Amino acid sequence: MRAALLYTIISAENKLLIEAAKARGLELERLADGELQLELTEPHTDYDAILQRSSSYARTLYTSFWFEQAGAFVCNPYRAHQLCGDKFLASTLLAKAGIPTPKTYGAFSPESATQAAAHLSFPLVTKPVFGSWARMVHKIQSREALEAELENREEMGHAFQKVYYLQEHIDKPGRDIRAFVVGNECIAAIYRNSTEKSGWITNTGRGGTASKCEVSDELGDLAVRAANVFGEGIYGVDMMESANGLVVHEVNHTTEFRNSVAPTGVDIPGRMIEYFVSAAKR
Amino acid sequence: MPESECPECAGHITPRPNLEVGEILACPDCGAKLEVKSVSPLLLQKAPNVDEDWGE
Repeated sequence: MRAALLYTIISAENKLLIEAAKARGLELERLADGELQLELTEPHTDYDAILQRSSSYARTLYTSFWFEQAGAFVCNPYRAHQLCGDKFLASTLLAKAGIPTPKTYGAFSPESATQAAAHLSFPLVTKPVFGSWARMVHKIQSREALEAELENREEMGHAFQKVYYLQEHIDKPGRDIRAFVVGNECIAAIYRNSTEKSGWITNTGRGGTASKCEVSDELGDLAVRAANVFGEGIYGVDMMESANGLVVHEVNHTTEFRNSVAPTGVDIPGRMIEYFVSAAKR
Repeated sequence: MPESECPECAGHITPRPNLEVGEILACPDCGAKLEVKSVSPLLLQKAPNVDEDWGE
C-alpha cells in the first residue's frame, strides 16, 4: 500500500504519526499541501491512502475531495471534514441524531441574531461557524456585549463571519473533556482544565492543561455515537459536564493529541495508524 | 546535522536531531518561526503564518 500524510506543516502530531507508522512497517510519504498541483479535470493519483492532516480547513476540504475523486482512501473522508468543520451543520446533525448538545441558534443578520439571543439567557456563547483553537469564541454576558460583538462581525467583511452561531452557555466545572474516537472505539480521554492563562477557555493551545479522564461506559458510548454522526474515522469529541449530564459541543475532524499521550498513557498515534491501515485495506 | 543561519536575523541555528522537512523551528536569537525546506543541506525559510482557517 502506498500511503501519504498530507500536511501543511509537520506539527508535533504529524511527527508522532510518521514515527508510529514507521514502527509498524509503514513508510508514510510526506505530501505538502502547499506544493500540490491537482488536475481537476482528470483526478489521478498513485497513492492508495491519504492520512489527512492539513492544518488549513480550506485545503483539507479540497484535497480530501480531490483525492477521493482520484480513487484514494482518505482518512478522514471529505464528508466528515465538511460536516464537522462547520459548526452550523455539526450542531444541527448532532441534535438530530439525539446526541445531547447545547441549545444553539443560527442567524444571518444582527437583528435576527439579537432576537435569537432572546431564546437563550445570558451569558451565552458566540462562535464563528468555521474556526478552531477557540479563536473568536466569546462568552457574551449581556445584550450590550452581544450588540458590540455583532457590530464587530459585520465589519469583518467575510461572509461566513456574518453567519451568527449563538449557543447556550454551559456552566462547566472549570474543565471540559476531549475523547478520542478511533473507528468505533473511544481509546482515551482527557480533561482540559481552565487555568489563569486560558480564562474560561479550556483549549490546551490557549493555556489549558490536560489530565487523564477515565473512559466510563457512558462517556465512551456517547463519544462513539457522536463521532458516528459524521461517519467512521478518527475524531476528537469535545464534551462538557452539565447539571444534566454530558453534552457534546464539538467534534474535531483533524484532532490534535500532543498533550494527551502522556496523561492517558495511551499510544494515540499508534492506534490512529493501526486504524488507518486497516480501514484503507478494506 | 548541518547548521544554518536564520533568514530573518542571520542568527546561528543548530537544528535538533531527526529533523523533518516541513517542521517549524524557532530562531533562538530573534524568535522567528522558520520552516525546514531541506534537511541536507539545511534550508530554512520564514514559516507560513497561522491562517484564520487553521486548526483541528
